[in-house]
Amino acid sequence: MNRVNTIFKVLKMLLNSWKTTAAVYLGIAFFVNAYVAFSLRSFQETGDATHSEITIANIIFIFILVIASFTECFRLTMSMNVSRRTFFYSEIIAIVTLSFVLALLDLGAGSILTLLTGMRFNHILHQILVSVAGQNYESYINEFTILAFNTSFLFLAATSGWLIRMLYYRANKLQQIVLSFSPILLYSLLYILLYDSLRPRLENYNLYRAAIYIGENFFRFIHSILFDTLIHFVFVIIILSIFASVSNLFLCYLLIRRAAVR
Amino acid sequence: MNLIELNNISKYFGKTKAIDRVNLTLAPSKIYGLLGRNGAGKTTLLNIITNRIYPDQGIVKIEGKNVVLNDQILRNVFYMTEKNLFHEGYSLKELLYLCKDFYPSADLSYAHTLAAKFRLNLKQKIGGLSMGYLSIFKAIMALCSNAPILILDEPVSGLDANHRELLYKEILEIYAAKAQTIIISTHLIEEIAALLEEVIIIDHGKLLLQESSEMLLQKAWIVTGEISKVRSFAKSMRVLNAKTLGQREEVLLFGLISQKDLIAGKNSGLDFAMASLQKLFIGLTENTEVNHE
Amino acid sequence: MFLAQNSEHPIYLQLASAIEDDILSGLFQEDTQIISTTELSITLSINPATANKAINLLVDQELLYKKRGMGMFVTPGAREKILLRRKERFKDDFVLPLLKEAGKINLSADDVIAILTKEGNDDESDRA
Repeated sequence: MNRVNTIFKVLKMLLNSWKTTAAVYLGIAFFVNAYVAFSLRSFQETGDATHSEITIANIIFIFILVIASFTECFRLTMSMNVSRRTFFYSEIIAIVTLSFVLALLDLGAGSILTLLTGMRFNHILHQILVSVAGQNYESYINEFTILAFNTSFLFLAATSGWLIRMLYYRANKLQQIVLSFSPILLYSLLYILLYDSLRPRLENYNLYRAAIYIGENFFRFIHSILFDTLIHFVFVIIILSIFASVSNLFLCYLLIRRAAVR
Repeated sequence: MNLIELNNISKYFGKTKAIDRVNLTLAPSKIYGLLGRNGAGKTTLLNIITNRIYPDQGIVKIEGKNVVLNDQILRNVFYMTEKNLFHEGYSLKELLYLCKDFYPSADLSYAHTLAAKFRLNLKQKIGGLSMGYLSIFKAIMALCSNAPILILDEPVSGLDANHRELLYKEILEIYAAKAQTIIISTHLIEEIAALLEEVIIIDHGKLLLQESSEMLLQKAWIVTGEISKVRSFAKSMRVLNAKTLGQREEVLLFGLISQKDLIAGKNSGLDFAMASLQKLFIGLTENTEVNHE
Repeated sequence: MFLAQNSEHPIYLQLASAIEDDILSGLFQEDTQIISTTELSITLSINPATANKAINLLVDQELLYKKRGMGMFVTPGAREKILLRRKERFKDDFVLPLLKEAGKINLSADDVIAILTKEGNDDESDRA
């Protein structure tokens, strides 16, 4: 049985194991979303109401799904003597597929609700762009950009979840504790370095000054892309998401290569 | 061509050396018994062979190719683990379909036949099985998979005597039909002795011996008689253990005894009997070996 | 067919001997097929290689022959061959050990003959 075939078999297994959870989640999410939309419509007098979509819920869902399903799917794959490499490729394809499907459903449900309630579809992308760059960027928002944005963001959430799961999987008890504390530690560290009383003293060091310079200029660079170039903000976000996802996947591969079967 | 090769495999768990420079070559189409005490390293070795864990030193090759992350090779191996890796919610039928997915040459009708023989209801969920039936199901999956290499880790764990006999016969049936390479790791040495073509003994992570079971059994002697006569007879051989009762001594000897020596020994009043594989195994792994001064 | 555990003789020799017994007793007639090695191994729960070894031994001794695509058959004249061989080995396999044991318990050769004659007569009258 050749490699590609095995990849598809694992993919089939993954999607099968996700489908019931996804169905239940989507059922609830759509129901709540529609309920809110319809309730809003009955309360609103002006025609200015908008309804939202389930993007945030999707992001949280896929993040948690990838984390929660890893052990079971990994074990199942390994018990059938499939290599970790194949599992890795199949998981990527499965995540991409799920991201796309969720994004599509998000968009589709939104459009249906618009039809049913007459309210405008106020996607989160709208809200971000408007708050950052003002109203004139709305022309760039269409079905395709929303779809691309959703898919890439979901993909990022999923790969981040996978990376976190891999870190825990490979870590021993002590490392796991450190891992659990690390976000807080990191945040505190960054706060101290950048904003606190330590800053004046650190500014004596060239390395520190260089790091701050690069950091600030990076954001300036992003800002200029936003407003000065032809590449639209949306696409920048999408490309950055994909880059981040790919680097997550790279790290996942390094971690899964020698993962023991437990 | 040699099917399975282990070249200088070592594995540490922390500071403990779980596998110590094991070199093994397994020819195809034989039934091997992998024997060892609890904690000797049998499961670790099998895990290394199937790339479930990585060795710290050495390479495992199957058909000349390194097994690490090698799907092409790993697809030819079905590994029945002691631990259950399947989530409890899966039904047995689902798992059999899964097996067929990944081992296309699997014979599911044979699986159903076996399930009937063992009185196993395939509609159950795997989480609801008793320990014995869990083993039975895993064994059924292994046997119906038709993979060229079968690795069974404690296949009769928890099985009652009747089921054990039945499983041994089924293993022989599939072996007679398909001539697969089968590696069985077990504690029930006596029961499996007659099934094995070759015996591999692991002790404290080291390879103690690898030999045909027939040859091995020809070297396992229990010699009884008057102490001095026994001792002089056993002078040139390995004495694995010795029991003294009054003026008589019974020793477990490991080695070949020529016809000539045998007749001479009998004539001098010694009694000879062949030791069972289990007795030999215990003698080899017990540290009761007597050193001749 | 019965195989003793932990006998001095390896399993394949015991099996060969048991098959010889069956040829002798007429259970396996000449020029007819005997039980296949697969059936043998499964019935006796032994490795097929061991069963094969027993069969091959008998083939070497020209007691069995292989018919292509069909299995193992008893060679014509096998029964006589077995009888002959066993008669030749009778002295070494049975009589000498008998005399040795007799010697241990102080029975002379004449004592043994007396016992043999009596038992032999009884046996014949039973058979008749």
